[in-house]
Amino acid sequence: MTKEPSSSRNQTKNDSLFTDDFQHNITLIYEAFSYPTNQSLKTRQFSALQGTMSGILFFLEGTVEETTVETHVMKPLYELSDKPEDGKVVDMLANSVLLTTAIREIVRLQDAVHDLLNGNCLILLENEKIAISANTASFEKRVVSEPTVENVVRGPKEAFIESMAVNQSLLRRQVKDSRLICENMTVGDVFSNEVSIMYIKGIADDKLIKEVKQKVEGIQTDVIQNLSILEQFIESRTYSLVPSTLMTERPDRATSFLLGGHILLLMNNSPYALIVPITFWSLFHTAEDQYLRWANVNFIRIISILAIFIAIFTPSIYLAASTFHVEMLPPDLLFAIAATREIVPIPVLWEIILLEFTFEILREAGIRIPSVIGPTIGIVGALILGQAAVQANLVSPIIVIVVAITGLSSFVIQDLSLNFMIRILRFLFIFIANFMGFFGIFLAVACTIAYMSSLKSFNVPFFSPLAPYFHSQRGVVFRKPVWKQALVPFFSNSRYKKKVSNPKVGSRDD
Amino acid sequence: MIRVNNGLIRKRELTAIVIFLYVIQLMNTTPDTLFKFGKNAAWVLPIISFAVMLIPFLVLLYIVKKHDAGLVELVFSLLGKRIGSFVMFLFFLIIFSALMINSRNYTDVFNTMFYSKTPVPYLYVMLIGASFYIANRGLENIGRTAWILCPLYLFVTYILIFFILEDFSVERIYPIAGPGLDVLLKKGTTYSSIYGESILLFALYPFVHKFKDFRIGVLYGWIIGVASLAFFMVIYVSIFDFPAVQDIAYPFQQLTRMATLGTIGHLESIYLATWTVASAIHFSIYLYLAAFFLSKMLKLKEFEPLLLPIAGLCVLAGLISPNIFVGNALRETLIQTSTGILVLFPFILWGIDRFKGGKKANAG
Repeated sequence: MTKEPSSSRNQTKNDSLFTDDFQHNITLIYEAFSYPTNQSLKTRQFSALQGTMSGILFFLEGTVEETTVETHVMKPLYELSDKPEDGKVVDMLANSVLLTTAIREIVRLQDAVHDLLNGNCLILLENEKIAISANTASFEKRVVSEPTVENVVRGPKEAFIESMAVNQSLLRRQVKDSRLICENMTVGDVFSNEVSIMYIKGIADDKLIKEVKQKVEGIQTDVIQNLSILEQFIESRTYSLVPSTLMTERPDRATSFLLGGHILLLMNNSPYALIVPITFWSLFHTAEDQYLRWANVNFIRIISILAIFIAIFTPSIYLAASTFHVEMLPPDLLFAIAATREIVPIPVLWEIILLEFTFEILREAGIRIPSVIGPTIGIVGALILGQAAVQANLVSPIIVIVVAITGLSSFVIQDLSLNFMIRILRFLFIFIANFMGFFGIFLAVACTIAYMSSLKSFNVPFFSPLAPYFHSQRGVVFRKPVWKQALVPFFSNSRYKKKVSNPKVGSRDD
Repeated sequence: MIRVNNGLIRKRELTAIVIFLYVIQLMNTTPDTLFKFGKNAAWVLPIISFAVMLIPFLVLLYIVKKHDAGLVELVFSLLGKRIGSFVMFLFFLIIFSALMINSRNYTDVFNTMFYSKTPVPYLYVMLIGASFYIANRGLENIGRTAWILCPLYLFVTYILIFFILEDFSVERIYPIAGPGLDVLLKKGTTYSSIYGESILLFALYPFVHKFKDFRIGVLYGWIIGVASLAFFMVIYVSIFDFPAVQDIAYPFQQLTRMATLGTIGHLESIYLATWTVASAIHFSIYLYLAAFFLSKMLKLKEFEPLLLPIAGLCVLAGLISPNIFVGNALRETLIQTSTGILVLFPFILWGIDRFKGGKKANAG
């Protein structure tokens, strides 16, 4: 959406009060929604109390549950038999007649428009300058379904959807505690949207909560459509490759972050939760981390670490070894490489770049391609590019292996931001390797580690609690058995329990 | 939370920093220098140097604890502004010369052993550039980087022993006293400023969380450094034998060339990697200290802007030396000169402190 300067002026014009004049009030609403050009605004005239009380009901099509309007708003109105003795019709309607969950008395046109847009229905009565807004909201949404990105073998199989209310309900079901706080704020000056900030009081650090709220408040823009855009507004480093926030589509993972003292941000139209602050480890750990048995999860962690290193370094190390440090390769392998390289006309750097880019293109195409013709990608990628490029002497077969293992490893890293970081870093290291071999690669490694360890996400160091070191119950590189993990928020001093222990009941099987 | 973000380092980070200061000595020309005098018993020299340097270190530790102030603050308050500035200049000179000579030496090793076709200035600029980048991100960050990498560094360094075990023969360290105990003691004392940085590290005291962290951090790192150097010198003698070991310029790099892991013959590339990372961190600490002392001498509030000029000056000055032999000679001169200063300095400080304290007590 582009910015329309006139629209912000329209908003201020809406700020007028309702009057005693029934027709005038109706005209105000009509004008605000450009009725009758705009057919979304639905009206329903009614008269109750044997014709002594008449009014009009407004709602926007597609934002309300029509049966609720019928049964909880219209029906009680028609069944009304007595006029109140003190003559305060609005109070009576609001307090004892209408059956919806929330009722609001409204005097300003702006509030009326806001409520209508959010799915309330609005009742204007003759000779009253107060309108009543009743909560009948029901926007279309899909049902809660299985996660599509963060898949697990063992663990809950539900994911966030585009409705914030449903997402909050998914979280509430997991944390049944009164300390789970949900603060709502609005972002976007012209087309405002609601952001919900969730945390557990007493666990999340107060300073941190304040900082996050300040950041959200400080956003000055016309519209923020969803969380992905909000993320880019509140992240710590815009131009850095290293992410400072995390998105998850799994309520269980979000809950575990909540319990760890992180802060969650939710928005409508966003089937995920935004988590701040994060460390490298929260990006590295998977959703399944706590569900698997001790040995299994640590096995997976070793695999993931290896995968990260392979994904970053394989092409650059191959390049360095085959151009600068040939003596490190066993002679047989060296001869094999030399034999296959002999017939390839281009330098090894361009070989790698060619195939790496092809792989990245394949990957991007795989995401964008319509799912009907999806399988073609596999055939084109594997058969034509892999097999044919080698047979055409464009690349040597060992490069295909290098790129394939690199690509495969990069899929192990689930978090999208970390994944991008690793894929982009890989190219950086390829160029450095071509330039200076191992010397260059490892000077760059030292600099990269120095850079990453100096980063902070909302004041939490990126590598904590490893560097700077402090005691962490959950384990960062390797996980401890669950019964040894006291639930200690990793950057907070508070803790729920002093000590946990393995329940030793009954006979032991050892 | 965020208790960690006060800019102070703790014992783990400090230990790691000291490890990167000292353990790396087993990979550079220090063993070579020591073998010249210590012969086959040269491995005793680091231990003697450590023992000699430990005394002034403890004296300084006592003064620092008493005043709860860093070296710089102590020097200025005890010696006055003018002499203080001069002492800062002296320290700067020591650390800067060490930076300049050592970094040039390292570059020469890279050049000789791995990149014989690459011009020295090219390698030199890259090495110092990386160190500058690390140093520029602050001491806290040097500490964190060192701490993340230090377990891996020690592991890779020590695992080398298993790769060269077949050539190992421990009898070669005999006769145990080498050229004689008196020579060892004398040379160990003269060369004790191979551990002179321990004294200069007191300047970082204000950046350390608490006194205990400083004491433990420096001592642990130092002991690991001494033990590693002595241990690896035993290995060098046991593998290359005396007198051949004297004539090997870079024993560690030679060792990595001999190492085999199954069918993989040459492991030196892996050790090149380790060594590259370690030297980048090593020189970042030197750069940081040099900038720190210079800023104190000039009484500047910020010293980060000094890092770049010092790094540039280091490259320019380092390139003056024509080859590694000049570099080695310079290094020996530096070690011998700075030994006197660094060993005696804490005692002078202690004496003045006693004198002033006495005067104050009398006045009170």
